[in-house]
Amino acid sequence: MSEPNPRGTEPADSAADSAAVGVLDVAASEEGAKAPKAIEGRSPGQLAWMRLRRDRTARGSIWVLGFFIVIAILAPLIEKVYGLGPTVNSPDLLDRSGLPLGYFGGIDFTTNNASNHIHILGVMPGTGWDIFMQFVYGARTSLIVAALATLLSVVIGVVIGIVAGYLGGWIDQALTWFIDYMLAFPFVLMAIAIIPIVNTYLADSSGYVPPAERMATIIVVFSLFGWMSTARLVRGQVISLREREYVDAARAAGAGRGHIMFKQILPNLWAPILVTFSLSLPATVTAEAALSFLGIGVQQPTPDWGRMINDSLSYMQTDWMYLVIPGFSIWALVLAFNLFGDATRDALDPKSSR
Amino acid sequence: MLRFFVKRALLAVLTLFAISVTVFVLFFMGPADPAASMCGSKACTMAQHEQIVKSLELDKSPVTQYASYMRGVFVGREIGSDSLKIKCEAPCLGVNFRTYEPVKDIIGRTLPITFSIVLGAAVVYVLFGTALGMISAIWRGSIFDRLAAGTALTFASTQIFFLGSLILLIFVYKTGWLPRPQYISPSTDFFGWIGGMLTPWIALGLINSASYSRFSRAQMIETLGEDYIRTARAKGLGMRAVYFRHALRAAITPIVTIAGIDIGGQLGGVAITETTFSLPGMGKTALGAVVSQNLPIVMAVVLFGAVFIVLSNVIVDMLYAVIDPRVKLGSSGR
Repeated sequence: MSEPNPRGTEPADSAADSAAVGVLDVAASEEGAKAPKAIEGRSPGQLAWMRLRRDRTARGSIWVLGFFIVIAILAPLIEKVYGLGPTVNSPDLLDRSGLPLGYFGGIDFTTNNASNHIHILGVMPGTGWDIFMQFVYGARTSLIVAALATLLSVVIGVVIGIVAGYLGGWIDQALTWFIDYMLAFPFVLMAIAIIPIVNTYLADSSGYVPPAERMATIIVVFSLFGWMSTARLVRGQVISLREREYVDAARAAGAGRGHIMFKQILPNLWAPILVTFSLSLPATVTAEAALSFLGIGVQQPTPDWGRMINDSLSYMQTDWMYLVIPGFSIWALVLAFNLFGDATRDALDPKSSR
Repeated sequence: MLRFFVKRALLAVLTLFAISVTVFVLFFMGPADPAASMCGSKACTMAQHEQIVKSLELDKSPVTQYASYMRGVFVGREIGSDSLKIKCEAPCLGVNFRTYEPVKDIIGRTLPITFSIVLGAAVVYVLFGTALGMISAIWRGSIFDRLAAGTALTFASTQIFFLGSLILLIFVYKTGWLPRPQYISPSTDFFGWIGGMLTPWIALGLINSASYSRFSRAQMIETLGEDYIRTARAKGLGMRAVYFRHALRAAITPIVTIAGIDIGGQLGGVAITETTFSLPGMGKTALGAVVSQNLPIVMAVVLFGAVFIVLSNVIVDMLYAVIDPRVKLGSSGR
């Protein structure tokens, strides 16, 4: 983070410096960059990708995100290589009050201990579970929920936004009011109130809810309350796009509404949609962790960073590593997503200024 | 202007009505047996169960239930059957079935705590964020600018439950530099109130100021590029007057807008902050009520949250129209 926003903002800054001269400068420098090479056609996607690759912050955030995604996908393999599951009790590693023996929450790179196993991030107080494996599987929980919930909410938002923006009239008015109505629900309170109610339906006679169903509930609730901003954005874009000539042409050629909305207009919206998607991912990661922190998200034995933080609070003063490891993990993932989202926006829309 | 206000207010009332219906259906029709869950699984006798069914009018139709709930809100009602009658006065939001405390009193007890956290923190992050953004805009491209942007983004990516816990651990438990978070009524001990609220304010301030600094920076840079700023400079106006009298004023309207919406949203969603700092505000109370399935409390808190959001939106819309003469009302949809 020595250089938080390198190239992304510079064109915008110089443009703002002194309006006309700045714009000319940028145009000239871009011309200069292109001149030596032979002229070749590049799609907007290729251009954006090039800008993204040239951005140092973007490259860094991609590496961090790649790391989290890889450990999430390869979690079972890591478990095999590491040789220890996330929920293996080792009470021998704890002292009589349930705190890990050794330094920094029981971090041990040697096998010279009671469990005969390395614990590179230490063990959890109370149970002696290995924190590294909890971290690995916690990444899985976090990324699955965030990715699916964001994807679902963006899909819902895009469909509603396109329909409202293109059809207009009373449909638009009704949908706009519906968006306002959905936005008026206090999201956190609704989530903590609804999820337990849904779980009472999913539970079997002994009150047990399978982990997959618990996760599905969270994903559905998040997407039901998360699509509104995308819908608003898409609606605004569609209202200006629907007046374009190619839409007129398609209509004149006899294309139906569905075709115009999803085959003609939608492909022209992928840039803003991608930006919303990548900027709402970190918010979903935070929300999921917060829900687990409040004790309403996924339950044991599904590992989860937010729940680890909640769990760590009672040991905070004696074993602070247990608080720092999951907290740092969530922070790193969210920061990487945020930086990546900003870089994506800069790459897709070079005119945007921060 | 008046027509716009009336239309906006009517729409807000319609939204609130729809939300109250939705929440009612969700919470009172949702669980298989609300009376049983409210009664508690262990100590519930048949008589108690019966009493809750009667008093909630669970044996009647949903429409009747909703009607009597709303009648309670506006004119008050009597809850309970013959054996135990609770008189619940005008803004009646139901009764806590464990303690027979009116929900209204619970809200009245917890609301000042939530207000203290949210409004105090808002003052911190709006002022701090705007100042940071202004300085960044003035020293654009400098080390300070980059450092401020980086630090702000770093803090914006932290979670309140992690940052808050860290602050508690380092500055309260280990060093004792900051007082423990607690709520003391500002009317009895003003400085005690500030001291008790200091930790949540700092944590929320650090997390939320990033968006304000970003926004005010962009707005300032845009304004400083305007022609009238050059004119002001050309006629010999000092830089300080330019920054404060022109650039800041242009940035303030949108910042007020965002702050209004933020505050409305946070009033309904501080459960996480309150849990982190163990402050018994509205959100934490609702959380406890969810765990013990105490529906009247959950319902009331969610409705309050919705009222705050809708109200803040209306206020911001109207404020915007009053502050900014460029906003033409009526010509466009909103």
